[in-house]
Amino acid sequence: MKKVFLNLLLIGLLLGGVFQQAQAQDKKQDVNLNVGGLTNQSFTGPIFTLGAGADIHLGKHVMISPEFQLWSSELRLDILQLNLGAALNFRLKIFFVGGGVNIPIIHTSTKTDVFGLISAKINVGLRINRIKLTAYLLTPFEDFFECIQVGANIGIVFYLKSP
Amino acid sequence: MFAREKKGADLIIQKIDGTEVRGELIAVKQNSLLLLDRFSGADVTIDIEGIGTIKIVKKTNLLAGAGLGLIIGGGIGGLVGFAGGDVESPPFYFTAADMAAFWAFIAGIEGVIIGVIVSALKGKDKTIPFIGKSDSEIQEIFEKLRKKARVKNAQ
Repeated sequence: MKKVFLNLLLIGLLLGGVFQQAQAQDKKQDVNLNVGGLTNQSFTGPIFTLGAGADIHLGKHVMISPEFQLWSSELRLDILQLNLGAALNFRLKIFFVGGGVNIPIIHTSTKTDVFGLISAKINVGLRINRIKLTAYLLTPFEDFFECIQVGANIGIVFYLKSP
Repeated sequence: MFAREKKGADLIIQKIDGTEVRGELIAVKQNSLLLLDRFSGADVTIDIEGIGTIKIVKKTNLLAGAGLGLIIGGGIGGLVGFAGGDVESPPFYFTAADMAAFWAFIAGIEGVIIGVIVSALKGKDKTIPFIGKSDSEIQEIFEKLRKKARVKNAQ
């Protein structure tokens, strides 16, 4: 638990710094709200996701994308997990691809196989105007590419600075 | 009834003298290209000697790619979800149809992304440099262009 809080603090400080720097330099920033689905380890039961994220543009082709995501296994309110993630994405026109990390902050049950594991994330997607589509793959560091989850979400984008 | 003639490829020809001509490729002759100029609407003959590069402007149909990806991805996802059968997780119970919808959603989004990427790659313009090419290489390029002309058997 102590480790999770330390990670959280570290990521928070890092993202806070990036946000401040981006604002100071008048960089493009936007936030998005998204809904989607994710498979569990055994690809049987569905995990539903609700998320909020941001894209901080560090140049024409690079953006840092922090996000919060709430997972609910099989729509059960007793198996929830709140995740904090961040990814470094490369953007080319409407496409983006990148990778990052997904850290569970709070999880209400350890019953589901993938809950509570810090994972690497690879994502690919499209952003067309205000619509953002993302497909991603998660793999826990402790079972790297032995356990894989795939997910996708659809989001709506709100601009903080004009594009 | 006459069959509708297929339009020729959209070309941008950069000439050695620095000028540029853009238009529909009407015909490929022995030593020249005949274009329908996009701006003036007039026929323009461009001599082989004057060509620097030819860019073939391809049409990008992202919407069609997205649609096809959605149908294929969603369809496969739906079938896989349905084939997995019911999922029981008290107090919830997901029928095979629920699982089909869930998988169709995930695979549908993935299909759209893949479809758009494939369409964008397919629709990427192709630039053919002419400078430094041998006669036989130029004739080879002309043969390929002939297939993209409105009139394919022009002499």
